[in-house]
Amino acid sequence: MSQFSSHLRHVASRLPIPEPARSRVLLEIATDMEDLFRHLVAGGMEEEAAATAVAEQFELSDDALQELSLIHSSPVSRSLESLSGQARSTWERVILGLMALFLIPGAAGGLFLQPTLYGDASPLAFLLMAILTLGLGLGLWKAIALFRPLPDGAPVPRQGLRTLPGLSLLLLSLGFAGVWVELYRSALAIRRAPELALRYLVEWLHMACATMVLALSAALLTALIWFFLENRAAHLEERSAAAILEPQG
Amino acid sequence: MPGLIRLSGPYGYILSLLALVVLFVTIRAIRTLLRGTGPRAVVIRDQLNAVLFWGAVAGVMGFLGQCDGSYRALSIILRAREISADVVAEGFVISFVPTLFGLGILGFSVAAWGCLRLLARAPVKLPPALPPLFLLLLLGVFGCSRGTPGERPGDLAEGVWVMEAGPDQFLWEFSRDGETLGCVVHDMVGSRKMNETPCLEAVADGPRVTASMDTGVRLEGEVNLARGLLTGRLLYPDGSDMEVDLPWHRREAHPGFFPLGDAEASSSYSYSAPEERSDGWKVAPAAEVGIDPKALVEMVEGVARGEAGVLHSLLVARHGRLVMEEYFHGFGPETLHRIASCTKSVSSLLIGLAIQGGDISGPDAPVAGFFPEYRSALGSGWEDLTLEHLLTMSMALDWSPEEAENLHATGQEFFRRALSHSVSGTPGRDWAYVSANVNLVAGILHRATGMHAEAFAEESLFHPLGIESWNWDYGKTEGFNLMDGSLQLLPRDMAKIGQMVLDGGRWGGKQIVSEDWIRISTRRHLQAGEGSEGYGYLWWLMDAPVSEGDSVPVVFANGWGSQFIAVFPTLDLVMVTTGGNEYNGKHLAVAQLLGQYLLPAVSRLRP
Repeated sequence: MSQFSSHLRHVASRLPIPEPARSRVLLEIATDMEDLFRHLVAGGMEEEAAATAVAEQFELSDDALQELSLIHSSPVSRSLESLSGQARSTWERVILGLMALFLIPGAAGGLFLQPTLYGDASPLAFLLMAILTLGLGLGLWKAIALFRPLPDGAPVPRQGLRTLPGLSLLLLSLGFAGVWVELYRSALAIRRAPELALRYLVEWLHMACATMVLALSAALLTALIWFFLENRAAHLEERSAAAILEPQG
Repeated sequence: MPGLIRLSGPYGYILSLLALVVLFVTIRAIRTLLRGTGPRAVVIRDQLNAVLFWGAVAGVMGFLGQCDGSYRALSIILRAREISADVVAEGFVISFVPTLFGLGILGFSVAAWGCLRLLARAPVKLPPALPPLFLLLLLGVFGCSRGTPGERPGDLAEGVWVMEAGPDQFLWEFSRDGETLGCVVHDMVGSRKMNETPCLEAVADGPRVTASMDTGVRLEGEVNLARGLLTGRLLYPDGSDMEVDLPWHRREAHPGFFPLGDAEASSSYSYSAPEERSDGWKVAPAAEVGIDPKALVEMVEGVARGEAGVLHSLLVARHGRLVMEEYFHGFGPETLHRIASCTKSVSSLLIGLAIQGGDISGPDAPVAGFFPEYRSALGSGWEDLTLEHLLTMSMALDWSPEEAENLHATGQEFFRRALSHSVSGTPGRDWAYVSANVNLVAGILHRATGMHAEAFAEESLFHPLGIESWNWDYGKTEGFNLMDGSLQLLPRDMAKIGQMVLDGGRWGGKQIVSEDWIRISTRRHLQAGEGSEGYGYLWWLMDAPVSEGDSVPVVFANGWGSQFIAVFPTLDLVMVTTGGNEYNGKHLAVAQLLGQYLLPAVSRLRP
């Protein structure tokens, strides 16, 4: 609940961006309004006068709102928010959760427990595993931050959350890089011994598949962790935004 | 659809679930669209995006399924010594199934998303990635229709599929020779290959395989290359069946699969003289006894190429010295081997020893006289049947053809049953190979010596020959041994018996069996059936071809599956083989090997 809730509701109705960016912009405006209000009061202004001054100061035009929206919704942000905005219903999330927890390892049938997979994959597999470990660590850190009770008015701890899809993309890129580097090496080997071309090609395909299994699974896992954490952050922001939009009294 | 799910492996179930999700969210979007209530634009946008989102998830899962399946399949293919381009191609066709399944779902979701966007009258703005995705989908569908399993050359079944059955492992081996798909079932026990049985017929249609045995057993299955399994049913002639999952194995995982333990070992085989052991055998290099080692090497290479079928051991002795001792398919010098009907020739020696000891008057002793307790049950004509008729397979009893071939029994009840048969031909003239008759020897020896055959053999034959290991338990009934074929011996001990026969009953400077008995029992008494072979007292005789127009006489004990103790008196040569050629029609293949390599090398040296 905010003393500027009616003003903020007016702003919210004119903000041309979808959730969760909308809540995030509103929270930012609300924080800025509160800061200015406290600054004016500290400067000796009456509270009522300060509130009126703040409201006037934040009477944003449509153009200003559009500009603010653009700042908060770059193409990358829009894409990520559009993606994280999917699977909103409980049953959809249950299916995604099942896939993350049971189906992917289940389908892989213990493949990941076999040391041969790592040996068969490109040498980049160890880098992939290091990045996955980093992603899991970051995910755990963010999960603790997002599921811990937040002090009133404290911003949602989003720092580092966007790193997770970045890591996911990096994992995929490294997977493909590993596949193509090894293809180049296989081609060199085939040039030296053309009579073994089929064997070299099959060995490359074998390595490529092992690498892609690792890269794709690691990328999916990292992306799913981000998906759940992003939704958690958005949920917290929407709840805070809803609170500040509630009418006073 | 069930085939699509099955071919996609475990990912098939995930993709099926995702297909249902896409279908559901599509229907949900259509319903929302038709209702036209609520904040329509936002709801429609969210719900349409959900269709696309779940389609994309299916596409990613399909790709993961292909990578996973291909990795497993290639792991198996790479373990094979030779990589077949056909098998790789066929494997890839199948590995694409989950990807195509996922792309199909994605394609449907994209199409649904586009149509619903149009219906919602929202401006349709294609994502830049959509055209390439559609192109990929079209290529995939085209590739799928071109690569339907069964339309491509090559057989997924090619390889070895293993069925466990107690201590035995049955290796179903499929291989293609031109247009014909061959199938052989190899019976392995531990690291030893016992025998092999070719299938009557084998047919492969893509991943589907059927193979029929002459026993009426039929295997019907389907190869799942990704899981490395041939899954199907074994159908038995009595109508029963059994579900089986046969995992793919490397041939190399079973050292005994190959004669010399390795597919390529034959090229590195080099001859060496047998090991000296304290079993009474003197050993020598082949050259010292006038045998060109090159001939022995060529013979072993022939065995390695499978020219003698499944041979387990090959021993050669000349001038009383063992010059070759080779074992194959995981067998070794310490492995007792069934000698099958060579047991009959041992029975002949035991009868000779009983005569020599005065327990039996001679070969003209009436058989019925040894079984007075069954006098009342005797069939007709027994008063004229002598031991010689029994030993020469000329008792001419009225056994049914089935009994004559398959009745392997001993014990009092068997003796009574055998004696109840009547003579239906001319004893001493009508030769017929009836194993059952030989089992009467167990009763005769027991009556004459007061000992069961095994104990008598131990005392009078095995101990003097220095034979310390044997097994004669199979089929033993009331202490009576099966005399027609259940004795197990070491190949070196089989060779001792051959050497003793060659030396007129002498071994290690001692007369074990009388020279007279050896002479009379290895003499040609009758012609054995329609062939040129002769028959002595449970010993076979023939002239073994050496080269064009030349031959050497040989006396031999002949056991089913290439168990032979062959004595070549004019070459002063003994040869022993044990094998597993019971079911592959190669029982006599080793004779060709001998005629091609060993005998010419030795006969050239004949004075």
